Amino acid sequence: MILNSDKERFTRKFKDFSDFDTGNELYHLLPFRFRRIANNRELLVNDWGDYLLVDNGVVDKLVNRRLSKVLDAEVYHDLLANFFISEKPVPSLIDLISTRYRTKKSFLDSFTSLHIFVISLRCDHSCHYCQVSRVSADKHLYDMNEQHIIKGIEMMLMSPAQHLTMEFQGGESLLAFEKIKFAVQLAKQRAEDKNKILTFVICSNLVPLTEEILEFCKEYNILISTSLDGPSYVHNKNRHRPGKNSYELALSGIFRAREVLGEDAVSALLTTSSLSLQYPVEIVDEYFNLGFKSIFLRPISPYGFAVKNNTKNYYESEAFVEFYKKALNRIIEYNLNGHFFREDYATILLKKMVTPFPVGYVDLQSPAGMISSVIVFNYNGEIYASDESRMLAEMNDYTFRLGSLDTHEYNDIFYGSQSKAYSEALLNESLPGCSDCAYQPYCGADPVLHHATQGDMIGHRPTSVFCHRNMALFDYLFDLMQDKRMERIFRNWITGTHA
Amino acid sequence: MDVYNNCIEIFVPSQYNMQVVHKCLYWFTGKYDIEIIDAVNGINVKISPLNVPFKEDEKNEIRIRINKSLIDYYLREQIQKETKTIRELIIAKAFSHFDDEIIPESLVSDPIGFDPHKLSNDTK
Repeated sequence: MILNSDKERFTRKFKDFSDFDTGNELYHLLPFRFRRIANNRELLVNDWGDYLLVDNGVVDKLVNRRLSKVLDAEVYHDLLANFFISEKPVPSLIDLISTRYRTKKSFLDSFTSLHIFVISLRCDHSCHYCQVSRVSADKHLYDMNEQHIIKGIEMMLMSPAQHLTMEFQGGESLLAFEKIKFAVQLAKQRAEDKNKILTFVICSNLVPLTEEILEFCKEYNILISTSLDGPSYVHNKNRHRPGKNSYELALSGIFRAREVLGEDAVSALLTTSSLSLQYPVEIVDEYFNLGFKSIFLRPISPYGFAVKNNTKNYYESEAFVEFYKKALNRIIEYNLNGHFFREDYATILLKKMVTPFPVGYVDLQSPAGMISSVIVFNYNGEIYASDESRMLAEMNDYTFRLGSLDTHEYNDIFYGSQSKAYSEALLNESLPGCSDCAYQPYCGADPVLHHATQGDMIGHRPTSVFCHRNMALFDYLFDLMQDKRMERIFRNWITGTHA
Repeated sequence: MDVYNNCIEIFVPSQYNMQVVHKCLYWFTGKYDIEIIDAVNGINVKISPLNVPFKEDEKNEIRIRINKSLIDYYLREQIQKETKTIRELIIAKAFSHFDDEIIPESLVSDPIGFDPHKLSNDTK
């Protein structure tokens, strides 16, 4: 027998509209920022770096509680699953969200890991974009003395980081090879006593490279980082030396170093000059043809003659963005043809955009990486907050000089009043223009660059070359990511695999 | 340069608070000189390009961009206000050092069918 109440339960009539939970006003917003991007899309990025691309108008509907759980079911559930909204005032997975936030900032856990020793300021090159070298100068004046090396190593090993990188820079560092030898042997021995793991890097133009140097590098697993600005007609014009053969010597050095140390132990860095801007494709082809698996399209350094000319810097920044896009398109072409060949700056940005992990790249960190990620011991024992800081010092601007190995102890440098004085300019979460920017969780603060180009550590975002360049590149990458083929290539770059 | 023709004036109603207005106009300060003047039921914003004459089509474009940007910054303000507390909570939890694991209390004292502490005492 079927009861009346059961009959009602099995009816096939549509339920009343009010029976459906429309979801309006039942959700709570979680912290996120947004930006309008190409193709009538809105980009939403939450504080822990998850992003979502939605159609124009979704943010307005979302904020004004006109987004329906039923009528906008797909976007509603995307927002819910990606932690842009919550159905409870405090989301059930708040611990997970907090862990995600902490993970994004976990580069702070290890504190300063990169220690740059400017072992000599002498150099056989006179590159027009370099502010620091002293060509053929007196080695007693411009090489780091042993006392400073010893004190620098002691200070480096006081860092709480277990993995430390000791990088030798110049001038031309290999002109002071005996000093490098002394430093490496001493640091290795002291690091073993303290259970620290050390990675050594020598930055060199490779001109002074000898078999003895290569054997030493092999014995101590030293990585080589050299400069290659592109084909000879770009490289030799950028990097002047007697004989006008910097390119030929660099290539010879790269091949010899690869032979002895292995391909992975030798990397090359590009410095983009005004001349380079005319040759994006040729520069990419040069790196590819030399067998490099990646290229780092570094922006024009403003620490040269144009440093105080904000308008000129801005135009150069626009030209760089155009150069970068052309070069990146060429790199993508290689990947579409089945090769693994990545661009390192894009890979850093992409890692920040699509993975939960931080990237140890000091220019794109908040708090900024100066002092807390990198420190520089200059050839004369002075200590600087970053590599760019000591370049400024060569232009008689000592704003970022922290002290000296002769007179300062670890705590004076890392926790002293000088380093505290920079703190308000270190966090992009609280910088004007950055605090509302959708790219804030991926970007950084660069007080040294803003001080150098605008005379103010906090900086003026509408005219900042740093902001202009990074916004343009983020926009371009998000635009490209909407193509599934590009997304696949970019994911390969992040994982370092060739699918 | 004709100073009077070289600027536009936009009325911003008082529904936009000054923080929204400042944040919006900040992004125009790279290319334009901005002057904010009190008005009835809102403010007037005077905008003129820095050192160059205004182009006719640029005037209209600026009006549209500012109006759109005001709406966006208004939305951003809403989001920020509404999420201030939860953002603080998330950050505080992210960097806190205490273990906040809560052991749930319920009427069922041994949800797995026996009390493991009692068992270990019995077998001693």
